[in-house]
Amino acid sequence: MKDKAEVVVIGGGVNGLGVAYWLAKKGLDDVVVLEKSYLGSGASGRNTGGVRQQWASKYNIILARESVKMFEKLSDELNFNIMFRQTGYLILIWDEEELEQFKKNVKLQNSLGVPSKIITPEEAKEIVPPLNIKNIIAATFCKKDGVLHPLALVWGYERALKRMGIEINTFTEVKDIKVENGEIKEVVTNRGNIKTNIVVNATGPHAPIIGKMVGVDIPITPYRHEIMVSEPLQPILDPMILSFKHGLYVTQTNRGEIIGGISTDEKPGYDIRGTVQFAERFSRAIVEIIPQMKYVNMLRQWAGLYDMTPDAQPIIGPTEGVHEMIQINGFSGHGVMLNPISVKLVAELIVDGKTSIDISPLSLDRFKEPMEVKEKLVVG
Amino acid sequence: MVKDKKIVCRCEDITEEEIIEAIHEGYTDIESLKRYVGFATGPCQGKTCLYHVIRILARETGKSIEEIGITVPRQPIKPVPFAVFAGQSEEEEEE
Repeated sequence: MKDKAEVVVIGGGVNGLGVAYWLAKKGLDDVVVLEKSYLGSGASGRNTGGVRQQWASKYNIILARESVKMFEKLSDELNFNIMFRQTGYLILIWDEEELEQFKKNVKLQNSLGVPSKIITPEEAKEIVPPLNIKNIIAATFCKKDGVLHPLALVWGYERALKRMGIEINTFTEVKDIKVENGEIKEVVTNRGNIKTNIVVNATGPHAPIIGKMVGVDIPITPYRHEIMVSEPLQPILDPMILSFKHGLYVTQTNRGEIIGGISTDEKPGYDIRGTVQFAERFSRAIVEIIPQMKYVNMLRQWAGLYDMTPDAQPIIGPTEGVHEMIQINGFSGHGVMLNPISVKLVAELIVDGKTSIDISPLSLDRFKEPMEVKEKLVVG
Repeated sequence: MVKDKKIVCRCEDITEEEIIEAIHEGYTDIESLKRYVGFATGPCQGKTCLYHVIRILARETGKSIEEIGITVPRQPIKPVPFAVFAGQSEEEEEE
């Protein structure tokens, strides 16, 4: 392991690896990535890989829109198939109140260049023929939304970093960060120390623990979110289906498994064991929405953590007091779908000192003020 | 028997050669290897293949079987129809 580096990236998920990738691409290749377990062991490897632009808050829409443009080219760029397919997101609408809200959302999305639209239940059934449309009054659909294989994104970045000669240290846990007069001096790990002046905190739900090492409070709360796959089936479900009424999201993988999650009653914490409550709740919802699923076998369930911020939007940018710690965390469950543009912007911030999209409203110091906008469209 | 015809994971049709190749690519811990290759993710949930893979991994890396450990088992262990978890009988007519 190197004992000094220009930049130390903490976190071997899509955001840590992606930042290192963009730094190297921009010519800054004296970078070390540290991961306390294996790559993608956290939320990066535990999610559905959904890529949605249909958000209610401006920054989530912009980051998702720019990320979609980059995902479209990323398999070629990384020379590794991340299995991104644009089969859309279909959001089910159950009552007038929801419909009013989604009309506003679609209007905002359209004004920012996202081609979402309100459709009828019959049109929704054309997109997903086995869908039970008995109780839905409408749906929204954005055909440019999609799904990818999140671990393939991890492996794609990993291979690119290896080609570029960037050191990745797995099973290497950061124990402390030494700071003098607000300047970062050294990162202490279980495998030795690394002298550095710049640290990227890409540790998702563990970001507050890293923050604490430099005396900074990061308001992220970890919540368990569970997910499952079924046995593989013939293709029957192209898009990702969302139902905010159920807290449900579900699609089908390229291997044919039905994959999805649903909200459960969670208290904050780092426990990621599976629960029967989840299995029951998901099963009740899936047989209601796609009745023929009742005959399908659930194969396995697992869980990961959402890194929730108070406004459900990510924290990206420098840190007041310890300017050379760059935050890229708090994606509140959406760190994969907002990944490509977020990691590029962080690399711009470090190399160029400015970003091509103004993301200053996403910096950590926004939490000093009362929240103006809270993202409501969090699911699962 | 030639290596590339030796099926280690019968659910997902994974050969010994594919597993060895992945280990040599650097997926040398059991959880990474499982995700990269896909063994233990089919209907049997690793009941058939996991111990074969552990042995191959031990042989290729020189690690002990204790050091390698096992993958985290996933519920419901055996495949279960959604209708059962939903509290419905499989024979119930659709509404």
